Amino acid sequence: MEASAPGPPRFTVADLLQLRRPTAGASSLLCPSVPTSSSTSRPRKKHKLSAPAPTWSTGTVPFAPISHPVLLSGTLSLPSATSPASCRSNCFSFSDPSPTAASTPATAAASVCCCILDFDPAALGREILVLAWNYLPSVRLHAAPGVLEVVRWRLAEEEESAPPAKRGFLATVPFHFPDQEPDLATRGLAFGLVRSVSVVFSMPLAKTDAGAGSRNPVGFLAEILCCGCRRCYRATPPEDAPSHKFETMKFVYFVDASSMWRPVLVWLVGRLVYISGLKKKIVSVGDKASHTMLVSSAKTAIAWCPSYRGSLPLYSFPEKCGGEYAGVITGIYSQGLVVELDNTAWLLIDDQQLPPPHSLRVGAIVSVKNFRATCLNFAWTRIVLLATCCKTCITVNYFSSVDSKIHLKTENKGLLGTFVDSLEMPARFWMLLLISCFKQKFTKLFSDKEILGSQNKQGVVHAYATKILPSKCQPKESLIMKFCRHNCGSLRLGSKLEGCKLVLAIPFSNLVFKGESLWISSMLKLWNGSEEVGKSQGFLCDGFSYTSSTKRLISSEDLDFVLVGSIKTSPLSGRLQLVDSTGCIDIFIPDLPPNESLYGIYEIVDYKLALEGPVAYVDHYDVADPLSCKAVFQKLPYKKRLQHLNIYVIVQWRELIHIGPSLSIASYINYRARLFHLLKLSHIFPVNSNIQCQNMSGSLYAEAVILPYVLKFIGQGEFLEDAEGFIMSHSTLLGNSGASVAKSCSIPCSLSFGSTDLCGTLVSTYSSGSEGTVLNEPIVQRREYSSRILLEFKAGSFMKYQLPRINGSYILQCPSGSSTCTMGSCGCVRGGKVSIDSQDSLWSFAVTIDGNINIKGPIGDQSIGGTSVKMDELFSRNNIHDELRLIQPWNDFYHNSYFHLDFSCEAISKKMEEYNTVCHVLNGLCASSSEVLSVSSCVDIMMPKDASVSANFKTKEEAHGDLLISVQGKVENIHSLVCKWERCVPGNEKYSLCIHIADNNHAVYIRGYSNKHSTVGIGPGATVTFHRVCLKQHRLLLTSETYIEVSSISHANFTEQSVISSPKSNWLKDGSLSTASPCLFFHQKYFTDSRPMQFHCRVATVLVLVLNKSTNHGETPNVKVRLAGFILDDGSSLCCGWADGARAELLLRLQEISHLDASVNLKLSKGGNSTNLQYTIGCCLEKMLKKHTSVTVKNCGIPPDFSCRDLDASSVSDKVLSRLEDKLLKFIVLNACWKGSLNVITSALNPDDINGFNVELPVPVQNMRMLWIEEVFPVDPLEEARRLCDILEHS
Amino acid sequence: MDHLLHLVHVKILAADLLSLTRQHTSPPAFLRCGRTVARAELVGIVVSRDLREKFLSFVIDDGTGCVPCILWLNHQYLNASTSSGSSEFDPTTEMALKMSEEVRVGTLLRVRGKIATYSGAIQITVRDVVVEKDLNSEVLHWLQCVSLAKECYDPPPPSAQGGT
Repeated sequence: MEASAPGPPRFTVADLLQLRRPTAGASSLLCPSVPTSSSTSRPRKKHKLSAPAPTWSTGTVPFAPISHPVLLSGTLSLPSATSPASCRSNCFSFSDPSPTAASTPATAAASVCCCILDFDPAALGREILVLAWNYLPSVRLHAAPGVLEVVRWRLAEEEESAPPAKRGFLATVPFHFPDQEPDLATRGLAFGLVRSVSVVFSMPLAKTDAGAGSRNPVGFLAEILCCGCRRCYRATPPEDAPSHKFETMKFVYFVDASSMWRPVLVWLVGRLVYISGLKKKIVSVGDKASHTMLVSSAKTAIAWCPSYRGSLPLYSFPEKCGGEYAGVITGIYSQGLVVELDNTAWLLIDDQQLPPPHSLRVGAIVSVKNFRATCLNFAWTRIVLLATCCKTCITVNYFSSVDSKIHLKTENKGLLGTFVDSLEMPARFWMLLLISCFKQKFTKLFSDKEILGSQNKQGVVHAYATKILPSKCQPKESLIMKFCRHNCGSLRLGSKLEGCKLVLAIPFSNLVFKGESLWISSMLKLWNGSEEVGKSQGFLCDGFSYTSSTKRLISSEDLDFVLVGSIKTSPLSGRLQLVDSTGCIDIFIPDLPPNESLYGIYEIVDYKLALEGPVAYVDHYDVADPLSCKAVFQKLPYKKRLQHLNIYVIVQWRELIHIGPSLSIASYINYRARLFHLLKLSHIFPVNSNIQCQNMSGSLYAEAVILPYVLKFIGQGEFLEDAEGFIMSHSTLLGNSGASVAKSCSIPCSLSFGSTDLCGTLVSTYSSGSEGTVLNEPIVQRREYSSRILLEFKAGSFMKYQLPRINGSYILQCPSGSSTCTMGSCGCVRGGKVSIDSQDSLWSFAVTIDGNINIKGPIGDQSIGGTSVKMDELFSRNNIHDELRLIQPWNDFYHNSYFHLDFSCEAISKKMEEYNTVCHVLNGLCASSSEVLSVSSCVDIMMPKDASVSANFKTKEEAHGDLLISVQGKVENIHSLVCKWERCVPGNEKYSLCIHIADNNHAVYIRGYSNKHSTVGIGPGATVTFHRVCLKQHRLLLTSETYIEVSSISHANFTEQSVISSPKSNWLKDGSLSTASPCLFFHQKYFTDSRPMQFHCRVATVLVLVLNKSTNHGETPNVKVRLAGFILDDGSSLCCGWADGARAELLLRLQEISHLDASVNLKLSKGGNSTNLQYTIGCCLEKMLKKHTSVTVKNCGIPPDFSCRDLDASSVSDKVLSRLEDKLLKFIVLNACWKGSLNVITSALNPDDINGFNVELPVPVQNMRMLWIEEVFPVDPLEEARRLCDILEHS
Repeated sequence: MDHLLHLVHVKILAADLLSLTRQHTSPPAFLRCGRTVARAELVGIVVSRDLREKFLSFVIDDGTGCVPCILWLNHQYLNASTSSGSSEFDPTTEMALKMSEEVRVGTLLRVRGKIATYSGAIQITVRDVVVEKDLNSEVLHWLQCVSLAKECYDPPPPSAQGGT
């Protein structure tokens, strides 16, 4: 810019103050659109028009650039004494030039906080021209002016073209002191390197010093490493010589007026200074210690050394608060207390000891000096923590222009803030992380007060943290002692963290994300593990191959986080969910007690995380680790990507730890003038059922049968606990119905609930025949239709929807409120619908005899009909190890019921003559309402062998001519139906799901449309009851009313991969394996010892194959390979390997689905009418072995050549093998010989293993090495290549 | 063990295969460092494919060279001449046809077969092909070729050691 040319318009501080949004300006712009009239127009007004956004407060608005050049000028000075503490510590003041120079006196005093790059003390007190700047208006609405960030500047009077003036050894810092006091002994000097500067603090004076009017002195300390040489001691000022030795540590206390110098001293950290005019004083702190210090006086002057020729001492011990780090700020969290640098290091600011500078914003480059660095090993992640202390100073090297958000901590700390301040650094970081988690998770669900607490009340976070952190109160040391002793607690660092396990209370969006990435890596492993995965993971259904589904169960021990959330019932699925503000996850609590209020926040440490979905190839997507501190601090902007993946947790009730705000409303049952009905729940309607659609409400519905008994309490009190007795009577007794043929009987009984035990009587009627025999018709059945009611759970009482179970007994308070109503006239029965809001309740109910739940028949097993007993046996085999219950067994359910109606044996035995009557009454009480069929009995109904079965069954309920049944079985697989199948059944396009269920003997599939929510938990191995599936034309269909109840899921993983790979990992870890060379056979040395060997090979031919029909039921396919002999080729030589069972199946690849030739297939599968059916080879073999029991195939050829002509197949049963069967066997052998590589682990062959098979080996084979194959698993080419590469490198 | 090398499918790179020493015997024998080899295993990408009625001829490129391969599809005629007309029940031809469908230009194949000559050039008479889905298997094959060559194919045979 030339002096003669019209310069850019001048901008004053007063102009700056008019700006209402973050603005950037510069004195020269390349943009040519500078208005020529700019010299006359008022830039302020102009700018007001261009930036009319007054709403900016603390958001991240980018800086608005002023579109024309502006030149800002003003005076740079030290902050004034009236400015806030944080400004006094770090900022300079920038103000308009002296009033005489200004055009209007009103703007004269205008000043702003100022941060300046390339600071030079020479500029202090002089007018500077700011060439490039950012301005941030005040973030506090009513307070001081904003912050000016000076990017480039020059002195106003400096000639632009003049060369920079040559500086001497020492440059004086122009501080101007008002002369306050007369001379004292101010001969103290300090010449040295400024190491660190403390925060400005006020020191209370000792009582003797404190005069009447004197106030506590305010000042700061500077640590200076001084030169102790004699010359320096004498000479004033020090000489310009490179021989200074900076060894003596001195502390200078800048007090009172000189406390304003801190910003300059911060800039001087790491530079040489010469301070003169200091007083020597002894400062004593309490009674403990005293320090000799140099104290500033009115004569104090500072000069600094711009260029020193000698060497300055290096001093960098990060572990002793001497670290130095410069980096870009990549994140600022927790109101500026946590700063992330370069995406790697975490700077934790102790705001009591270090007020963070204003320009600490995302994108700025800062340098931090004198911190303590430590590596924090949390259970879930590892971070590098830079903890600030009283010596730390942070300087901004480059201002951020991408983000304008200033992070300011609120002053009002409350109990939580005080608690955080009292913590040691590592624990404090965790605490800030925890607060951030809890804020994210619960601020929408609970009030801030409940979560964060207030001035005098602990919040949930506080209470939770005190539970985990050891409550040790560390003694507070005075800042002077800390600073002077160089003791910032460095010794204590890190040690505490080991003692208590600090865990992550993961936000659920991060959890879902973590679940997805676990699933993806699991899928990728599966996919990469087997080259044939595309085929072998398929599942055959009606001749088509579908993607099968699989499951992963992960124990909380393998996950490094705990779950903290509140429990709600999902209005979408009716299921319990663990919820926070970031997301939700389905939760199963098998032993959830009845009538339990689940208000508040729970912590779950011990749980199982289940992932369930179809086996599919999914790619990793490029997002950050969901468990990283960054992901936890900044709310992860994440949406579930894998829509087909179900994620849920399974937790035992005792593992739920209530940590949150409690709702103390005691649930008293008011019984006065109330009747209670006995119910049997007959059905629960799924969320998207017709009923819900008809009513168009957000309610959930269940159907119940009212048993003909009513319960009435006797007593004077209000609440049930005060009742004196009860009567349970048959409802016909209440009314005036013609009970002429009915006789009555009364049985003494007792009712217990909570801690109360009541005595009462059961009064009942029974219809008697002419000879006094009890008519064997259950009363319930007769009245079934009339007494069926609909229970409506309103939105507020969703929690109660979770508790009822189909076939469970309940007591319901009669909503009509009448004590005299009869069954017939009771409103709730007539209306057909009872609304249950949060006030009413259903209580579960059980009948016992002498406290024993099983009375007369399997009441505890009502859900399972007589036909399914066998099935229970089948399942019980796996119960202990493999199954994880999702709902409690019926026995436990009854045991945990709220009410127990108990009959004593004694009382019943007194009525022995009426025993049948009693039984009849009890049966009435416990009447079963619906029968759950096993798969086998379901198949019997679908395809009746004798007509009576189905005829009997048809008497049961039917809907629109179709039979509605309940069926229970073990899920074999679940898959979605693709268009292929839909084309076969036109018009049924809404079918989308097919679930295969089985018991010991039979398998069926159930198809139909179902929403995603209701399939949670239905994976292979789950035991599931389908209530009200439609039996239509020998098919089972899901209807909109079908309620699916998952009783248990299986631990076992059902994919072939896991079966194969589990031993692999063990073997590979075992150092005893000989795996060194890829050509093991070639080197004789490997055979000299009998250690197991692992090698990579292909099947060259099959020598012998002996197949048997399997005697083990449930094995699929029903084929057992008794013995198989293979010639294996590893590229260096041949060997002979023998195997049986699963290993042989894998080498033969029996499990693979193979596209058999249609002609082979059709003739083997009777009744098949499709031309494109696919079967596994094993499936076809099964059919053959049914006929022949055992088949042997011998290879008469000479290895390694192979031809089908040399194969000789024969049947043990002396039946002749058909040509097709012969072809199938040849196909199997050929298929095995033509496949890719596998890894095998072998051991020496024990000749006894093959002796029984009458094996004759051809001559070349007799000379080969004989091995027994222990394990077979797929090759991981990458892993093998790495291993081999390693071997080659080192050989 | 050395005499058995002609029985195994040696893992080999195209360049090495094409530079095998040919002995003009009938059938021709191939020597690698003095050892007879007769079968080979290659991993490479299909760069050309020519399907005829009786055979599929294709070329495998593994980066070191291109090897012509021939997969016969006429086993039934061979069988018809030797056995009593049971070709209908021999799955070999069907399997070979299925295999031929997997040989597509651009796919990574593992090929095993006998080393043969046709019009003076070396080619592979294919016994089986496997489509490799994992591209790392090509790298693994290279490493196996190097390792096997170093340890068992290329060290001088015991007879040669004494002679020279």
